[in-house]
Amino acid sequence: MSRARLHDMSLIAVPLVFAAALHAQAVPPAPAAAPDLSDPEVAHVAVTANNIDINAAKFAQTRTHNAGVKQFAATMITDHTAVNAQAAALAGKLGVTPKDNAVSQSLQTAAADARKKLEPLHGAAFDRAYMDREIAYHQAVLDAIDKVLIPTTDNAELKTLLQNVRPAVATHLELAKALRARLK
Amino acid sequence: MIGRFAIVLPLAVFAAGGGRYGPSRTHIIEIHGMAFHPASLNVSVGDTVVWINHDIVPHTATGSGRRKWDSGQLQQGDSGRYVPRRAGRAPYTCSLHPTMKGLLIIGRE
Ligand SMILES: [Cu+2]
Repeated sequence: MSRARLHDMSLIAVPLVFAAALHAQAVPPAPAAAPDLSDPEVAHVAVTANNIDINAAKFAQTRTHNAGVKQFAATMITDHTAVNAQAAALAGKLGVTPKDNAVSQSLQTAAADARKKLEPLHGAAFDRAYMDREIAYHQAVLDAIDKVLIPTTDNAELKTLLQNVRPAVATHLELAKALRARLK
Repeated sequence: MIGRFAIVLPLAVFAAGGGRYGPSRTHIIEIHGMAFHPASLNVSVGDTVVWINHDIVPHTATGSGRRKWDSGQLQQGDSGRYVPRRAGRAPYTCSLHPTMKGLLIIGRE
């Protein structure tokens, strides 16, 4: 074996669950099979998934007037940027250069659709819709981590990274739900 | 040379530290899994409280009561410190993740 492989189906399931959550705002069952992506493609998908939440937060910051939503968005940018840096470091360590692919593109399409739904909204209506989306997104990620990722990942470093990321995702979900409950 | 002694001396005290009757003690609060460990800590006026962040995401230790202090963002591996000057209770939080809460119970010594 020349080098560690990152192509666990677990990693691919995440973006699939992301994409479904963004479309349907509901968590689908874990996919039974996953496309056979190369390591560089998987790395690209991981970075894309983080960037989508960062970009959603950046958009929210230009749109919201709610201090709590602004702070939440700032935290999403800070945290997902940090997770991305860690994922990039692991990819670098494993000798992987991110490469664009169909799953990344479908994620981006789903994110663009979500943006289109948020685009016409302002004020309290925007805040509610953005926070609903964030709740669905982080719930989907959490479910993917618990039910698919951690149980099926063989790569020890990848498993450790997932275990380290999980509490942050759980906290994001908790913060999002608490904030959503306070919105009128 | 005198300057060097001035640096070495407090380090020696620090190294010997942990002693109840030393000039001050240093307490470590570890941040991991999106929580402060320990969440509640007894310290004395003049002690140094040090927070070390082990998480991937940054955190802060920010006074949330009447005492205002802010460690600023602590990246993974960074540490921040606070030296309480008055006895009492000092609740604090992470400004990035307000679900994270901690408490310093500061006694006179
Ligand atoms: Cu925090």
